[in-house]
Amino acid sequence: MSFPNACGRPTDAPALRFRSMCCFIVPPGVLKKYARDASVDAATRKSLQDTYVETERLRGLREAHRIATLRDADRFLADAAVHVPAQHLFDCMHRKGLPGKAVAAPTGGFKTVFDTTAKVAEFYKTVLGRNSVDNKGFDLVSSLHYAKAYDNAFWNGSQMVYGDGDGKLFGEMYLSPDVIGHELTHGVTQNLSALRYEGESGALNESISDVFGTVFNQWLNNWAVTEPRGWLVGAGIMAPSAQAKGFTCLRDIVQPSARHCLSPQPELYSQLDPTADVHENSGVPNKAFATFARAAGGQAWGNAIKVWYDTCTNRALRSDATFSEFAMLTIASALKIGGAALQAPCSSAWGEVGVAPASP
Amino acid sequence: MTQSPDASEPTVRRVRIERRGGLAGLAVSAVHDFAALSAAQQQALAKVIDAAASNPPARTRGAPAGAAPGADRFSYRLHVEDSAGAERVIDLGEDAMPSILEPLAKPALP
Repeated sequence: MSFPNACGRPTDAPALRFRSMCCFIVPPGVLKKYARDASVDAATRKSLQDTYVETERLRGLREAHRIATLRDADRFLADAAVHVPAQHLFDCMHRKGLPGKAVAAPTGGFKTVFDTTAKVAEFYKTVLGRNSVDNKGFDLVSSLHYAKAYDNAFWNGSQMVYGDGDGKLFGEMYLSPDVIGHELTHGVTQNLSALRYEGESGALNESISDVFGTVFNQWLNNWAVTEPRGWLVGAGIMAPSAQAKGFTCLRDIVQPSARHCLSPQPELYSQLDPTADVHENSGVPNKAFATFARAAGGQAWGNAIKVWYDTCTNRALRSDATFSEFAMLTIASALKIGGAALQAPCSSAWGEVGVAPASP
Repeated sequence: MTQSPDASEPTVRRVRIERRGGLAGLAVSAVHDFAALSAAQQQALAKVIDAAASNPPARTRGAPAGAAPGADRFSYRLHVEDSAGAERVIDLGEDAMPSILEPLAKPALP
């Protein structure tokens, strides 16, 4: 007798004995029906019955596999949610349109930016446990050769932008690793406290970028807190003519008012000019951090930067925070992370720059 | 104010351009006589003055009025003095500053 296969073509029941050779599946209902059909001979009915049982066993296995696959897919999707930040590079070709023309294979300056940006992301990930600027793997976008002789680098709210410098004061603005760390840290601050970019909160915003940028550079070069080069901002971007005049950096976090700084800053709270630019008044919290980190000793990416990061991630840090409020939060973070042994130098550092911590 | 057909209306006599901000935070201030500017610069400045009169810069969240978004951006303040001696102040973020006027406030080595 003939049996319909899954494709509707007739076949013979005995062929079902050679399951391994079957390239089709007889519907289980059909197997079951004829296995109970008294008009079919006993041997064929036995074969049909065995095939039906085997088919059901395989159906069970398939269902188990399907469920397991679904569970794996869930796990896969969960893994995918932890996004590793990708990098995107663009060439502005000396114009101001952003982001510019995509760069597929980075070489020269683009390679430098790509490699250093990757290191900044690694620093944040391994030292501070942060996944990119938003802690969700935000892709990192950098545009180079912005405008003509542009003597600046900036964060525009969603990406980093680097000029080539004017050749008199500055060279290419990405040549200092701390500058790349500085700009990327603005993205971090934007996603955390969003410190208002004016007054003391603006100076704190700038200081945080200087601090994390320089500590990143120390980490990159494996410099201890005693290494003076580790506290310079923008040492790599100074043009030869600026260096010839004795300017070795934009800012020095240890000595903000030093003569070798192209942009000297006040070191004491009493010297603060409330109308000054945020990059000027940041000298006070900059020096407080350097004093604290040097007193704590070792490497700044040990406890010191973790104290500052703990403060930056503290919800109590308001967007209009003052130096005094920030100081209070860092002292609390120091106590939390390193106990009284770390709290004391932190408190002392703020005292040295004349900032009285706010009351908790 | 800048292109008035009425000869009795004051015209721009001088402009002081201040630049602040940028990663370096170097402050620059430079004074220029309007007549000494190139024709293109005069035209760009006139447009800025007219635009500021009709559209005062908006204050964006977390930044001063007229500031470009983000951080380490330049900001400009223009003090425009007219022939009658009156001065008006215009704040511009770097995105709003015409490129042709930027060289008027460039820093130099101390």
